[in-house]
Amino acid sequence: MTNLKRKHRFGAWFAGLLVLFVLLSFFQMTHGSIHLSLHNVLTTLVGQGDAQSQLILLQFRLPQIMLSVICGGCLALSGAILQLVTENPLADTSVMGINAGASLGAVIFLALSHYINLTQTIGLPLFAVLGSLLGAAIVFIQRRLQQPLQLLLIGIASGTLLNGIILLIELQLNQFDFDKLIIWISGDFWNQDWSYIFVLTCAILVILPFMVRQLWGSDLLTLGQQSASSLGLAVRNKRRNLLLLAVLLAGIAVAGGGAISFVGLMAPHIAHSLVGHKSRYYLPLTVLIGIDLVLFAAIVAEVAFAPSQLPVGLVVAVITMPYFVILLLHQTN
Amino acid sequence: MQHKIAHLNFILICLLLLGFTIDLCSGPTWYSPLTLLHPHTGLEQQIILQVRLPRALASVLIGSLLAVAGQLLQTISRNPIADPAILGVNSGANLALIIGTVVGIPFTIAARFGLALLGALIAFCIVLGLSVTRSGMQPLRLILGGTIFSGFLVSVAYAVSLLTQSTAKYRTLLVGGFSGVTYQAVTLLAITFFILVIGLFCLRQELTLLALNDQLAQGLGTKRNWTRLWAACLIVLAAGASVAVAGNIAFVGLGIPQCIALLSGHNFKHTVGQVLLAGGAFLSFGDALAKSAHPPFELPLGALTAILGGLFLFIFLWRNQEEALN
Repeated sequence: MTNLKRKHRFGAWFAGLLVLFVLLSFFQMTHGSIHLSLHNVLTTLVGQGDAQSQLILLQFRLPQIMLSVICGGCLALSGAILQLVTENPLADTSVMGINAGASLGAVIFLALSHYINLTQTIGLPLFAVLGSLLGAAIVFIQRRLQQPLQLLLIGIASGTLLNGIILLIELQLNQFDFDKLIIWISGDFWNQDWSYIFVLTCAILVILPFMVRQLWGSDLLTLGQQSASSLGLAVRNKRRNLLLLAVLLAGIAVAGGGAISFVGLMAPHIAHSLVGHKSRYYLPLTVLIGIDLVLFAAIVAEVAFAPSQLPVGLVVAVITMPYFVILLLHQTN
Repeated sequence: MQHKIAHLNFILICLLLLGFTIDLCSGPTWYSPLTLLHPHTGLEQQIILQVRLPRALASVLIGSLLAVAGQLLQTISRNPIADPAILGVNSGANLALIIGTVVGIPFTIAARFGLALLGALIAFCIVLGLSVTRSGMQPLRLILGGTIFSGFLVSVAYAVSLLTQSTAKYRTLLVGGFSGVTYQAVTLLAITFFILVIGLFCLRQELTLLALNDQLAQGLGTKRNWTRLWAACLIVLAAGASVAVAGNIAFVGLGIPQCIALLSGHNFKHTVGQVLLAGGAFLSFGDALAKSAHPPFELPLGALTAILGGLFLFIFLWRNQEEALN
């Protein structure tokens, strides 16, 4: 593929995914337990709607879209970076126990919230990020790069362990409240509060410049350690920084929407198959695909089984897990 | 060697009896072992006979069933970290149970057993079918795929029970545990156990050879594939019965056979009895802990065993890694 052709292809897919996002957003805003007409939505968005639609849109539906953007984007990007850094096409924050670590952090914060002098808006993301660092530390504690599948197995072991602890703590807090439990085991948008979303967005905006800086020239990493070093790349530093940033992103995503699984696996794979392996092209697509995927799941969770609702994470799991299994079992070496 | 095995058997029997007694004694109120023999009041007698005894029996039986199912699976797949829970067999049974009861099949023990068997069978076939590729079956891939598939089934189970607002009703199934076990369930488990033991007795030579070496077994003329098939049937039976009574309990099938193998080697014929004993002892201690750690609440047994299982898998991989490096 020539460079120009690739560029055009990227442009086309980028635009297509963006249009998909807008369409999904409008669908999400109009549908739900109360139907709003498109006209109604548009007038409310420019600030002239009636009180009811204003309440529904601003308090329920727009926060959901924002959270889809935060969770989907962060998880997808984080997964893509993990795959790049570990040179392991099956790496993902959920299979490596990073999501479970972040969830554990969040659950510990909730269990101790009476003793810790922090509001939930600040404290929970903080603990989730600390937890995700813990989860990553367990998996990467051995410095050398493990065999790809072995690394994933260690991740699964630590994920099982951490999820067991989450189950124990959470069921002590609420004996029968499985909805709360599912937030931290498979994910749901549990806090649709604007100030909370604001904090998460700020955290992402702080990380983003570092991210872009580190990702610049990261294509060299795919050449393998030796060639990359010989081309003047401080491979080890770059790997470590990228890994850290990926883990931070995962922590923020989990704080926003719980431990949503395998978005970080599915989105980069689709992006690769669309535009190839040049990070300038596939990373933006990865983020968009992640967002679209989570938003789609949010719509299914809300609309498909109305009037009862499903946690978003369960819908994502049902979409992404079979994808992973098929990818894993039929991936040629 | 014989001497050592007898020694270990004796210790395991003692542990099993101790675990069983502690399980009987523990609960929201602690009874001393003397009370078990001479209950002071009618109420005490009734609690012991109607609540604690079936429960303790069930935990011993399920511990044994799951441990042997794990050992069988490890033997036939020649994979030291295989376990029915890891391969999605348990969660398949679990999902079938929940779907079945949601559609309106009565929640009797026989129906539950049938559903669980069906679910376990289907899940097992799917995982095996997915893992057989042109390049043959890779153990690590099988485990990884099975775990994620299992997670998928659990997600669907949660979704179904959330949609029908029955999470409280199926709490035991979802998180595992022995609360509300009846004598009917114990009878069912005992029958399953009996069938399993007979099956093991008939297959013991073939399985021992299979555990030693695939090629050797072939050379000596054992019908490997038939042995595998029969063993797979026993696994599904054991896993199905356990899930029908006590929900999803992981680790037992993974850790117990490995620990026994560490102590007394890989001879299937010699170790299978020890695995049975150790599994029973382990779960009765586990159940006692779940009942008495935080009264009056019960800890979810599935979570306790998952924590242990995670730790165990971790240590196992760690050790193997070091072996591979040295």
